[in-house]
Amino acid sequence: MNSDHDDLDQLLHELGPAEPPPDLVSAVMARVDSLTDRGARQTSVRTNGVTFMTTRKAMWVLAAAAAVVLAVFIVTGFPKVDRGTEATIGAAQRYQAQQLSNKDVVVGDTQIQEFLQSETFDRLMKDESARRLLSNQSVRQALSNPELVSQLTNDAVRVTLLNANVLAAFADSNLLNQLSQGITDANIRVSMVNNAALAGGIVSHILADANMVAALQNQAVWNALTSANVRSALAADYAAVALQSPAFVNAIRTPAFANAIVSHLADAQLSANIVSH
Amino acid sequence: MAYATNFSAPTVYVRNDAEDAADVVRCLEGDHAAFEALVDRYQRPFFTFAVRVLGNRDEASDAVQTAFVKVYENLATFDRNRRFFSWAYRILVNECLNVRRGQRPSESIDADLVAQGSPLDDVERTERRRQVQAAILQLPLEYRDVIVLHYFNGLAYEDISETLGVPQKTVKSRLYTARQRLAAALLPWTTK
Repeated sequence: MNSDHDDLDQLLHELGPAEPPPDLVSAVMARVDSLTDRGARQTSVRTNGVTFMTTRKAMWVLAAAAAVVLAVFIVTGFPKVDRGTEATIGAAQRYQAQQLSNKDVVVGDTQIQEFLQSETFDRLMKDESARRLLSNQSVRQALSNPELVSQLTNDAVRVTLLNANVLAAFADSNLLNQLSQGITDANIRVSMVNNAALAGGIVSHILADANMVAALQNQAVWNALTSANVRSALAADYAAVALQSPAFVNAIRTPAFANAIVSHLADAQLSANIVSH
Repeated sequence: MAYATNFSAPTVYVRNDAEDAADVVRCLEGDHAAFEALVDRYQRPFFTFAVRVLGNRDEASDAVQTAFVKVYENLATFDRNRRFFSWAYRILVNECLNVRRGQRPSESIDADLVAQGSPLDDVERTERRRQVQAAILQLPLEYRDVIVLHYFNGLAYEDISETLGVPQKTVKSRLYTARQRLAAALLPWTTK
């Protein structure tokens, strides 16, 4: 039998590995590139029954709004431009990417109603940690942004939001300024990570973690962390439990979550549960 | 186990964990060239796996492309405490499994697949290769996986175990059974 197996080894080795087609790498990269392009050009995406208004539609809305504003200015006169505000524009323009907002997500009352009556929402309300986190008005307000909710379905983003270094950096204006530069510019980031003076520091630790950098490059995530109330809630023990709980993770995967969580119905349900528990 | 063979191709898979980790970080920062480097590094072991498991070059090429695209799409979720190769390979294995489910059982073997050696190959050698490839395709998928990873990509038991997410003991046992079945299927050739 050993001799048979020696022969078998020889047969298998004779067949050997296979040479990939010469254009395999370029074909993969073309698909990856088209994926990126499609993401930028996409006009309508349908996900779990929720229609997102995307770039082209948003442009039409903006154009219409601009026309209305122009017409008003023509009738009432153009406002004077104050000088001295130029420096603030750079910081405000740090992120230009279109983010999802409540207005971009069309979720009907029926869907909100269905979500609030679903087993998913029921489990969320029975999860004490999640309930405590959601009882914070600032947290709920932040979660009403579909972009943030969408980001939260990523484990790395949830880990970033709970990270003590991240919370500390956002609480200190100097550290926040350094972090902002490091997040925005890859070269600055590398020099900060390798800077002996900063080494071991809070910002260096954050910037050395690609997952955290990716998470913080999202405007919705960044905005949420700028709220002291949200940070305070995230620093609590129950927040870590809540963000990792299946009840919460399942709930945020529901398309109606962002709209439902700030609805009067959710408010009432949350209040009732807070009282009854 | 003797490895007397006339097969002289270089090792298909070489561990590149440090380079992989660096490329993954660069890629997550938006550097497309880093992803291209990863694709270039692993196209050969990936294609070898796909082609030996699926028995068809076109389907293998599609499966490898799709797997790499899925790797790209899911890179942000990759746990960097794990090895990139094993994680990406798992995606390929699943993709091949999907393609395999859609294949007809009587799918013929690509002529190119067995006749791609030296031009001096004679008819008998080509037929022998065809029979070996056919025998591999007859194996249940769990046996096919280990045979291809071990013989054609040169992965050690430890690497196969990590890639397939099964204990090393299971890898050894599957490899043993797979070899028994192949030896039986290829009896006319092994006793020549």
